[in-house]
Amino acid sequence: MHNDLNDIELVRLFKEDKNRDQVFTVIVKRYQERIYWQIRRLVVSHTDADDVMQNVFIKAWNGLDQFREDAKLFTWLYRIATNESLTYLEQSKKRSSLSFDDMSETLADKLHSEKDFDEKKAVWKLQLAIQQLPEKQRVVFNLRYFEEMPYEEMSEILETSVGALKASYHHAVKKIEDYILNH
Amino acid sequence: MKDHHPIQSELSAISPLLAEMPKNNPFSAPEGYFNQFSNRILAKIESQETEKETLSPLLQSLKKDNPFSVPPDYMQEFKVNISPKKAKIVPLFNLKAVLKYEAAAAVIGIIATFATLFFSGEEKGSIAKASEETVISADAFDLFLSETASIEEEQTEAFEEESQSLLVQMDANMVSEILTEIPENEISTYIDLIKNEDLNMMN
Repeated sequence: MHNDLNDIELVRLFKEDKNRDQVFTVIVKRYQERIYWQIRRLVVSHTDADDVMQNVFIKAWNGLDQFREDAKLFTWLYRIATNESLTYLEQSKKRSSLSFDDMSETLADKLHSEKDFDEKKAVWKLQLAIQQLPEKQRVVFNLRYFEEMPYEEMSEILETSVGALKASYHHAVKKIEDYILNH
Repeated sequence: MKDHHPIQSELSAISPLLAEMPKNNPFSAPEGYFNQFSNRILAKIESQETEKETLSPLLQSLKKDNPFSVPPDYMQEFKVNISPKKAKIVPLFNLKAVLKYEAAAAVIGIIATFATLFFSGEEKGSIAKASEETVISADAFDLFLSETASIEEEQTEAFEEESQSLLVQMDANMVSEILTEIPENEISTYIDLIKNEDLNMMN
């Protein structure tokens, strides 16, 4: 019914309290997969990704009334997803009293326990290399490499300058290349 | 020419190795996850809303009503009046700073002068005395020299007279007695030594 509406129209309907459930379902269906993979690449396991997904869309439901219509809905959802993923990892780290290196190891262990994991395959080696990166670089790399997101859009999501993002991506690529060549 | 794949070109420039790698997604989500997710999330949201309403229906009903009001057209007419900041003029020649330095230099100068005068007071006294002495006239200086010479002559004469009187007081017996106590070889050694000294003096 509302599938043909654009984001602005959907948000307007939601704010007008007209068929909220239906409107929200369209929004969820429109962006859930992209949001899920962004989260999944950061937290690795499906169970964790599902927890974060629920937090993201509950926050979106609660915040949509205050959403500014001049902003992009997708950018806003991505920002919530990234922040929620990093908060989730931070909380896990605190719960287990893990350092940065320990967290990287934990994420690598989670990768090892994935159903189709094969260390010899380039795609998994790449994932192992990504887990060695600092959080911010990991986010930037995923958005640029997998999502092919322009720096300007990334800048809105991460509230970081384009220059800093470029530098971050450059460092991330170099570190990943080093890891792949030495492992 | 426009680059149609700027992201791929950027990656190739940084790392050709990574640019060549496949971008396949190795992860997988459980089957039907995305078909069910929207229903699951709506069910969860609904349960949360119900929980809030059950907990306090009054608060839940009040939540969306904003009791505050703003003057009509406030939002349309809202402006932030920022008066442009006057740029601070920094003079090339800062008189205040120069005066400060001058005052500091004057104080240091005064302290240094007093310190020099205080520590070199004795030296200056001796220099003053010396300079006073240099003022003595040539005649006075000649008189001083002649007097000094006469005093020296008198002293030499007195010394010689005293020596002679000491020699006179020693008679020949005393000398022979002293000499008998000294071995002959020592006397001859002494005579040779005296002769050599005389010869050296003559040469």
